[in-house]
Amino acid sequence: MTSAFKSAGIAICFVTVLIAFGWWQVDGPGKKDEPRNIPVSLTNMDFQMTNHLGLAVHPRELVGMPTMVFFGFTFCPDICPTTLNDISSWISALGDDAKSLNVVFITVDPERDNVDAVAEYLSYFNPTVKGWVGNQAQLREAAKLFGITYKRVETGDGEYTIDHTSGVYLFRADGRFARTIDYHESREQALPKIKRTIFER
Amino acid sequence: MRYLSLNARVIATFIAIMLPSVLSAQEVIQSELVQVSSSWARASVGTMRPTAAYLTVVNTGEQMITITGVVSEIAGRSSIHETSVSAEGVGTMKPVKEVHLSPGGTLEFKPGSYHIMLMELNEPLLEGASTSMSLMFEDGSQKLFSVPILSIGARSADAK
Repeated sequence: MTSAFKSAGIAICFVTVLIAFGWWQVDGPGKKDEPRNIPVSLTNMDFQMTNHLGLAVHPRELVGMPTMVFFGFTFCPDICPTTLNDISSWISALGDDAKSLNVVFITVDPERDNVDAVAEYLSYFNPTVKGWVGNQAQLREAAKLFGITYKRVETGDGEYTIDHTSGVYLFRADGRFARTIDYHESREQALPKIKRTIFER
Repeated sequence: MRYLSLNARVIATFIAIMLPSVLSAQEVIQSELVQVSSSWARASVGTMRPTAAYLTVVNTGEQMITITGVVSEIAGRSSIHETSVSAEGVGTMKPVKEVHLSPGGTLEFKPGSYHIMLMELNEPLLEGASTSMSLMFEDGSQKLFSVPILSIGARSADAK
């Protein structure tokens, strides 16, 4: 009888240790950081691209005004036009506050999106949005500095689509990263985030 | 002879009355039980880039209905896709082979979710115009519906 109690006691101790170890790894101090990366400050970014007007651009030029950056491609039928529409509506809602705001769309599809293609595409949205086009090496560098991912996915018919980070990145006027607006966030969540980024020092 | 023909007439009448109800009990035509509303397509940039169409479907019947595809007069290829965004914020689009509608169920095709991808456009989708498409069902039936074309920046059927 005592030995039965003893083995039951040992089993309970063993299970308790296992649970504690699991907690430590998953939720406790042993928890690994989220893989999601945070962009470096715009002042520390060094890459060149061409904007939709055909002029050379550099992230340093954005410093001095609050900045909104997002990634996409013009062959994207659902997420990208929806994000561009959201951004256009936020800009209208912000009124004068949006006058001192850089808004940059960086294409993740340099193969199909040249300067003219991006210019034509953006002509359908709020003119505050500027398009940036880089070559593959420039895009890789930008993606690293912004901490975003993009991946070409073949659709099996000779065409392809690109899975990419869909959030909108906000930077303060001094170039420091402030916060992101995720794809599914509502206008009620997005507008205060942009305002805070514009006005905080 | 007269007796026989009367009998035959009774049988024929019986079959004529019973046949449709027997058939309908076995074969529900899926397209007839589906209601389509709030359809719209996003205007395209030329014909080179794909665009998307959206709608709301309701299963008014008492059986499961399966949508197996879509055909469109304006696109060489059309298919149902679903957009999803991962925990890391990465957006993905995947083709969907079948969409199931439970009895009484409603499914909204909307930006960031289910949508109809329109590829290989025969002509550009121009804002203010309208086009038509058909949903195809498991039983081979089709449901034709008209699709107003809204601006590239539209977000729902009510948007300008």
